[in-house]
Amino acid sequence: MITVNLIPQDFTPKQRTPIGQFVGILVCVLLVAGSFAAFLYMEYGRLAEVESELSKVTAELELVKPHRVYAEKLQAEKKEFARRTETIQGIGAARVLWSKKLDQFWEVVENKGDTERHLVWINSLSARSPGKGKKRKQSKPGTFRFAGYSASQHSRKLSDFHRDLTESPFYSSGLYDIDYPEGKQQSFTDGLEPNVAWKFDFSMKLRSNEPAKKKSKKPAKKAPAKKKSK
Amino acid sequence: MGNLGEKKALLAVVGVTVLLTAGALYLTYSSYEKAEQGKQKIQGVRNDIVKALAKKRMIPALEREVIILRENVEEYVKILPEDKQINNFVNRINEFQTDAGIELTGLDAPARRSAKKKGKSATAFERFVYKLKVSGTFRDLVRFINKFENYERFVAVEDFSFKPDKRTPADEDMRLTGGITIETYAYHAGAAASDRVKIAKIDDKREALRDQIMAQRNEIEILRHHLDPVVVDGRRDPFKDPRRPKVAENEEGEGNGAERFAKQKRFVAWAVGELKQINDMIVAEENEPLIIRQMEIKKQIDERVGNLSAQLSNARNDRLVTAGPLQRELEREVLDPLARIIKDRRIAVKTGLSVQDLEMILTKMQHYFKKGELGQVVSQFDLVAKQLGTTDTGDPDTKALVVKIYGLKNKAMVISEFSKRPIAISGIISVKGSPVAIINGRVFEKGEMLDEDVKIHDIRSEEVEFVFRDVRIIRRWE
Repeated sequence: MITVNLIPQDFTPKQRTPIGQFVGILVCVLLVAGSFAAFLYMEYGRLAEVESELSKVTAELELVKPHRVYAEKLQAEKKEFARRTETIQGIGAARVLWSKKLDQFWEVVENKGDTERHLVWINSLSARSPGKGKKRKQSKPGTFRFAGYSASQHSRKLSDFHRDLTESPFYSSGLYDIDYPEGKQQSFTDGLEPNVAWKFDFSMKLRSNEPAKKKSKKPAKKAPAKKKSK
Repeated sequence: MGNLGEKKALLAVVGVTVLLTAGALYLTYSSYEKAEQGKQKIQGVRNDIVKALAKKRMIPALEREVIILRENVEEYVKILPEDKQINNFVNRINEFQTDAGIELTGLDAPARRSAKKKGKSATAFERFVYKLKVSGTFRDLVRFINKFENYERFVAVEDFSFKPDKRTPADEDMRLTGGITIETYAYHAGAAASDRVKIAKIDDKREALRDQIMAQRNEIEILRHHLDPVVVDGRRDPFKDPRRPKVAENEEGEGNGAERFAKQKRFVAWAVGELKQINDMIVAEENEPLIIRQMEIKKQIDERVGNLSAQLSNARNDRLVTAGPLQRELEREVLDPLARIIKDRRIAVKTGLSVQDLEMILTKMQHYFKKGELGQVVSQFDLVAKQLGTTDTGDPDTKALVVKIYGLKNKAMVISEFSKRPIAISGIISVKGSPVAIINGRVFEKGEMLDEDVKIHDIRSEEVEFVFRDVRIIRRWE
């Protein structure tokens, strides 16, 4: 059915927007306006501020960056040269002065010509410097080994020689774990006196002079958690 | 129907509102997110700035440390040859071999190894190992090893092994054969140079750090050992059998070798102890505040020094210390320091004999002279001859005694020599009141020369007095 309103417009009662609608539309508008306002504030207010601050501090960082790079290069060079110094120190410290050791050893054997206390001669001599440290394992100790004779039928003289050796600077400077004084008596028919001597073979270890490596700062590994049986 | 349209419109409005609001809120949230991220970035950059500023503050200290390290490493590596100098090292080995007097029978080429496996240091240091086969006496081999250890470049002896060569003649030092392993390092400076940071005004800074550079440089010390050539040459060869053929026992009173050695050792020990006491007294004198006490101590020092000198002089004359090592010890520990003390303090040391000593010697000589034992007279003189030579004859009594002693000794020698001459007195007769003597078949009168050295001074009834080198000698006619 078609509805035609023939009342002139001037006499047509005006229809007002319902309050509910109005409020609703107002709320919608406010919501939209408010959210856009919030967006605008956030975008052009806060964000802009933050970006401005960021560019400012970035520029500051660019100013100090060369100094940081320079300091890091110095640190790297310092570390490298310190390592080289440590290498050289290690090389020097690890060296055993064998001519000094042999000089001191010889002094004990000769005993200033005093043959009453002991009369010893050598028939083999060998030595090896301590090994260099591998990773973090302890260096292999060096060795000093010699064999010879103590001219006398008395083993006491061999013991005297052994004592003189262990009390001498030759032994006290780095050597340790010398064999106990022992030997075998041997007779000679060469017409020389004494015609009996004690044959011996002594060996001992030599401590390394290499500087101790710095301990690792890594934390100890945690033990794996035990699985609980069900 | 109107209501339907309104509803639709309303729905549309609500829908649009929701969409727009949602869109705006999304954009707002998005901007908020960006802002928060931005804040975090700002905080991160600020932290970086703080770190960078902290590093900037460290720069002066780092520059100092780097300069010191660079200078010292450059100094340390002078002891390490550069790669191109390793070839010269073989020449050096040959030089040492010649100087030490050993024979080099083998030289194995080096095995090249880096000092460390990781890091730039691995390329900076390269280790070279040489294996040598050698032959020589123990003395020479020790010298050979010492030459490497005292070499200006760093060389270490890794190991060695020696055994006697049984073909060595019995009268020579034992020849040993064996091997020596030596190692050295080459330093490659090229790698270091390119990594260096350019430090502004480095020359000025280096100069300002000179003291610190030297202080840290002294922390690294390459030890060396000086072999005393006198001591080394004087020692017996430890590889040579020192036993000797059995020797007959000495005469009574001389004692065996061990006792003699012990006596010598005791004397040396006493002399060393005496010198130590003298040195302690010198220190006490220097620290003494009272002059009178200083003079007392000085007098005691002079007496002790004189006594020690006399004892050492006697020992030298008696040949008391004969063992080589003890002689060297005595010279090194006592004689040389004592001579310095005497020189520095200008002590007038009388090493000669006292008046009492001279009287005793003269009495002995006169006793032997009267008995006719002229040989003993001369022997007594010989025992004290050197001390007589250093005796201070400023004192008249001392001088008179020394003169008598010399005179008696000369007289004994002249008489002894005269007695060896063939002089036979056959007879003494009186001719016209003057006695004549028949000597060696010839007749001589008083005052005549028997020969060019001997004059007949007087002829008496039973004896003839001769003069031979100013000494009157009476020979009886029997």
